[in-house]
Amino acid sequence: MTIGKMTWYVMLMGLLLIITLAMIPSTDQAFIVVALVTPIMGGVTTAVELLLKRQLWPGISLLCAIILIIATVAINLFMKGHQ
Amino acid sequence: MPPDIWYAVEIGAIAFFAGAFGAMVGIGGGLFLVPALISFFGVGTAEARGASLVAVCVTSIAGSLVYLRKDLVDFFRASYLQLPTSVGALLGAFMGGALDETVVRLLFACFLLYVTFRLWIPEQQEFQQTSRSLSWKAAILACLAGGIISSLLGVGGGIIFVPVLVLLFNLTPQRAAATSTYLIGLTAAASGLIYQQMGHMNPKIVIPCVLGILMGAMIGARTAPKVPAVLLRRTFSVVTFLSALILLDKVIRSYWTGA
Repeated sequence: MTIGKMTWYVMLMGLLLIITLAMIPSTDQAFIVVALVTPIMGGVTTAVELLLKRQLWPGISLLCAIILIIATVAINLFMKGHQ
Repeated sequence: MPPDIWYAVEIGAIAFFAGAFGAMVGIGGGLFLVPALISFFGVGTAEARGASLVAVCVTSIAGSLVYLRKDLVDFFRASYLQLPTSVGALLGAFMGGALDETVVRLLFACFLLYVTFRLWIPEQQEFQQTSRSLSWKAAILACLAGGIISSLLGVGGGIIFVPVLVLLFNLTPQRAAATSTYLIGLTAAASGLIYQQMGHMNPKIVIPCVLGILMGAMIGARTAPKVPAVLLRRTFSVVTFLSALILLDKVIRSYWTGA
């Protein structure tokens, strides 16, 4: 299996979900969240694929980037909650 | 039709043209969308950038689907460059939240003038000007700067990532464009999430922008091969130049009125 096959399926599911949510009224915020989270899910899948293919350093580098994004968003949310 | 729907249709139409133009010259629609939203709809720069970032995410997903199928994405390089790019995107998002609207408009106008210059020179000559002497350090710094610019201005950043990938890694322009398309999705998602937490996402602007730019990009990508590339690049360099002038005019007016 080549790298990117699982990522392709994750991205496709995300895109289909985005288009579906765009058609349903009152799902505006869900639409935005899914649109923003899909590339992150794609990135996680790619990192897993790289690690499974024993491409250790690229996989770890990509995972670090994703962990950094999630941690920053979580800390920002936490700080906003305390303001 | 209710006014809300008309407003959405108008924004969708502008986003459609921005997506089509962007796909034709291969620079993404954000560059045209953000100035259009600010100039013609009076949308605040933060909301315009937020909407553009979501649109960048969705076009990146759609583009990546095509490129992944053709096996054109270089995951090895993309994975290494994703870290500095994400750091830049997060920094840019916080800077974007802290900077004054006028300063952001001025920065956007300067970036548009840079793009005007890049579009005016022929594509092959563009990559011949610098010898292939870029180091890893230079690439990481360029990606960091690309992430900041992308996040701060609400654009994809492909105009920075593609030359870096071509010049450093000797990737073909097509493979570099595919890798950049994959790279900008996660970058835009990182800054988009911060913008959302800051309350800069207005669904009434975001949804028509996303749908318009997506349809425009699909049609633009099909139309582009039928039009001479030089003519396209020259035409759009005029558009980006005019957009820069409109933004500069807004900056000067707000400076004089003190608004």
